[in-house]
Amino acid sequence: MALIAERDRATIAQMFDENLVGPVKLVYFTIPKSLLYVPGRATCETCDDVQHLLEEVVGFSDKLTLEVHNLESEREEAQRYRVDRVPALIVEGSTEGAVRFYGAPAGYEFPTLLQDIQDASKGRTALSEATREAIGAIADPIHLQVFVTPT
Amino acid sequence: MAIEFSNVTADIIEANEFPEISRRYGVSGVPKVVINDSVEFTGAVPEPAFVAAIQQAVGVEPTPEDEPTQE
Repeated sequence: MALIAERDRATIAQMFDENLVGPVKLVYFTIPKSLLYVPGRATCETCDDVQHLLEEVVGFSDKLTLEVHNLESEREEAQRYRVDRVPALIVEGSTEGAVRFYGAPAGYEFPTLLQDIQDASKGRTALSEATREAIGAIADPIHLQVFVTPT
Repeated sequence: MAIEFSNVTADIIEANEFPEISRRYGVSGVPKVVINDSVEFTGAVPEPAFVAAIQQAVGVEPTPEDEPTQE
């Protein structure tokens, strides 16, 4: 069953067709659902649904790829991306920068994800020149954590 | 900013799914932004204010707002 509504599919496909420039890789960390309950083992209620959603999203353009990693069995990859919780999605574009989503990119966060994919594809966002100048002048690492909810 | 600058990482965290992290950062309203674990604000802010908060977090003099020239 498709997670993205039929009426939205054509819109998203067209948006990607018009706006995507370079390739974008979606790196997704998950813990797959197990039929067996193991006490103490971490579970992730939304992980499978988020993976299905991402599979649909990358299906809208050849320029998008999805790489799925298991947080528990691929520790080295998790360390490389500094991921310690799931679901975790890293949007990697043509430049060095990346945006990470922790939790399901649902509700109001879904358009944010689509916009970030397009921005990552261009390596450019709608920041003002003044902002670019100010941030460009800072060499220190800047870690932004943005807490959101779907509604 | 994270997309354009390699020294910026942006984590977008769904507060309901990660209650322990939300509690640690005292999230009571969204959106809440925490910069370098030191400067924070809740609610949407204009871009220059966001930049000023980042400058504060890294210990840089905030860029003065352009003043209209006085004749």
